Amino acid sequence: MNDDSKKRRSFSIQRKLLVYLLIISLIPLLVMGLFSIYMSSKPLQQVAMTPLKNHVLSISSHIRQELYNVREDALYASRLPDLSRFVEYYDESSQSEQIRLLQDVVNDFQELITKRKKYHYISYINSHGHEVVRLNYSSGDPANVVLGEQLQNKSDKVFFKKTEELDFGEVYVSTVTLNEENGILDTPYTRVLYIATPVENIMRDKKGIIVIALRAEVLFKPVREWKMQEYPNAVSFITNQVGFYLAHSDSTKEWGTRQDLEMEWSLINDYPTEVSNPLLHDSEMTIIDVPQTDEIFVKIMSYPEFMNNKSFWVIVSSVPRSVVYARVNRFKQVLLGILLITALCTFCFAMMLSRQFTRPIKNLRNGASIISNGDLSHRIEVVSNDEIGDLTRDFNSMTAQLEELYQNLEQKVKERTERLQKALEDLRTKDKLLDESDRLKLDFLTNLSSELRTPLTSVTNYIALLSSEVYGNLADKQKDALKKAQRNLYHTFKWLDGIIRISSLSALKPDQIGALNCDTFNLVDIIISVLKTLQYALDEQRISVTFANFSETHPYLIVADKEKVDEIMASILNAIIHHNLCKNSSLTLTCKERIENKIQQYGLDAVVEFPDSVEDMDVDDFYRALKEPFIHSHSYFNITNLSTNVARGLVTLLGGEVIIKRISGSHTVTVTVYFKKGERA
Amino acid sequence: MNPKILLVEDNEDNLETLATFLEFSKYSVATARDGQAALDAVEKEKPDVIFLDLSIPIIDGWEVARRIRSKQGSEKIVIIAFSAMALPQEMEKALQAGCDAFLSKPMPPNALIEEMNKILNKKND
Repeated sequence: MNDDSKKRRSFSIQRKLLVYLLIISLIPLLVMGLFSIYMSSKPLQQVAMTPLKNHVLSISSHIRQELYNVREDALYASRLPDLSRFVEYYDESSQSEQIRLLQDVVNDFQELITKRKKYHYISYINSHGHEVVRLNYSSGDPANVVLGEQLQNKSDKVFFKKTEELDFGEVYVSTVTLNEENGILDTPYTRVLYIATPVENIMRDKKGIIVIALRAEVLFKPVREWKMQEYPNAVSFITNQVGFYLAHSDSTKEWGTRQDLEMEWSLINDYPTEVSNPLLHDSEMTIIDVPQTDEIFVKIMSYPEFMNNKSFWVIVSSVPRSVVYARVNRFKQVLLGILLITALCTFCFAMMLSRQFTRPIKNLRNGASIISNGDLSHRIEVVSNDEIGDLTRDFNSMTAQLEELYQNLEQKVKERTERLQKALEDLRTKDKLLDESDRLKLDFLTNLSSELRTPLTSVTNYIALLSSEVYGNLADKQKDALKKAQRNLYHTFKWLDGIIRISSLSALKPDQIGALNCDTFNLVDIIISVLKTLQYALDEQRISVTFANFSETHPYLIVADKEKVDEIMASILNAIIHHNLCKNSSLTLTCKERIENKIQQYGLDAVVEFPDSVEDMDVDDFYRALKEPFIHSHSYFNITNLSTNVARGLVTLLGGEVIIKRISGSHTVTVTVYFKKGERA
Repeated sequence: MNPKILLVEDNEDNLETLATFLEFSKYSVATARDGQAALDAVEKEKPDVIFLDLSIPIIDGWEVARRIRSKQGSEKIVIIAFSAMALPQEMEKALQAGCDAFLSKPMPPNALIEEMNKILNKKND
């Protein structure tokens, strides 16, 4: 494993650890954080809307409170003792007394209107609709007392008629209207509400009404003046049940102003129906957030219970959606920022932790890499006291033992190598000596053979000359002696041939087996070539040769050293011929095939068949002469068959086999030689 | 008619005895004792058969065979290597040099004549 892959593996552990740490920390954190942000959105929006809700509630509360106060003032005025005396005694009193009674009422009304400072006027109207006492209040003290001819008849006014129908203690509250004086709109336009209650005498007879004209601005003042700290630019307004603005942050849009009379501002005209409908018809406090506008509305219905008609008011505050959501989004952004910072810190912590965990492993890995590169003296620094530290210590201990072992091993290998080299040198020296010895032996034997053969040839020739009586006639005994000499000479030749073949075959040493020049060739070609060289011997022994299945179209290809196979076959066939002391035998050569130990082999069957006249004992001797290195029998004396045995050994080395067999009682001896089968490339 | 035989042999006894036997057997015999003499004799005597010893002075028997075979018209001459060297590789070497047959010494002269006749018959066939 190279360094890069080790590095990758180490980083992989660090990465895995980092991923695990992130999975168990960062992901839950992010999930929880994002879930919290998601879940808090709506409550946050609700919270963001709270100032608007509070604003409309405050306005509503203010209106209720103001109307309640005016109602109480009207009831208070209707029950004033001075007014009761006036009602009871005015008609029967003297003029001066009437003036005094009237003055008392005026004083009471003066005190009330001056104290409140928010009523346009207060008036006592008798049961005929005539104003009896009336005080107007504009600004500053005291109120203006309306006298004599300036007093009007209000009998045709709705508030008079409606109040006349009420019982004592009940209060009529009109809707917002423009004040009229003497049937003409008061200028500048004065928006008022009439709060009226019946007046009774002791006999509970109705004696007129008390009416207070309340300036509408007193009720609607908060719409323009009250500002929300959170939404200073919020728009607030109050509409009546048909959508006209009774009050508006933009005063020009208010009903009853000169501009309004020209423009007829209204909720229905200003906003789409998706906004105006719920604003005017939903009864509960409602938040209206529709995509048709960029604003969010909070509205509340106001039903003053002392309004005798079925009218109602709608109090609305609105802010741009972006402003509301800006707060929510700001909060979300802050939360998200905190979440991201926390996540970043967690990531950094996880990174730090994974590095901290993998640092000893990296250290161990780097050390192991150095040691694996062969530096067994290297020791890894123990950087932690945990399991990795223990592992590092054990690794160092193991390395130390390995180093010691390696040093011992190196020493042993060095010693053994030196010994082996010495042995090898000795062997080479001995081998050279052996080579030289073999060469000398072969040279000696070759020379010996040649030196023996040459004079023996002369001897043979002389015997032949004598036997042929070239040099004169011979006696029978002389001829017989020459024949014996010829036979002994022949025996000597056999010995010579054996010696030469042994020398030739044994010159192949075991270390040369590996250097055999193996090739693929036809076994038949070798046999024919060898037989050519042995033709003379075959003829001399009168051995007839038969080829059973030699075919030119079917080559018997074998894999072996051609030169050695040539020597082997020559040696074996030579032995078959020369150990055959019987004349007229036949030699049948048959090529054959077999599979031995899953190896395909081609072989040659050399079947020697003796005539029936030959005795079994002679066949046995022939068989033994081929099979055994030495034989001494009645047929053979001191014959050697070393060359055949060396040839058998060579065949085995070439991956083949030599089988010599004789079926008992038969006159047949079979020699079979197998070689490994080859294929033509 | 018996073929004319050239005996190439450096051993005097062998040469004498074999020549005597061949002449006794009615063969016309020429002799040479070294390679160069053999080549000269081939030019001069025009033999039908040459018994060629391989280990001979001046020019060895293999070279003599090669030189004879290199000349035009020499294919009719039967060259029989007749040597005391009995190793198979030497036999093969002789045949490659141009010899028609290889016979190992020692061989009885009558057997030698028989062998020669077989070779001649085979060649004529």
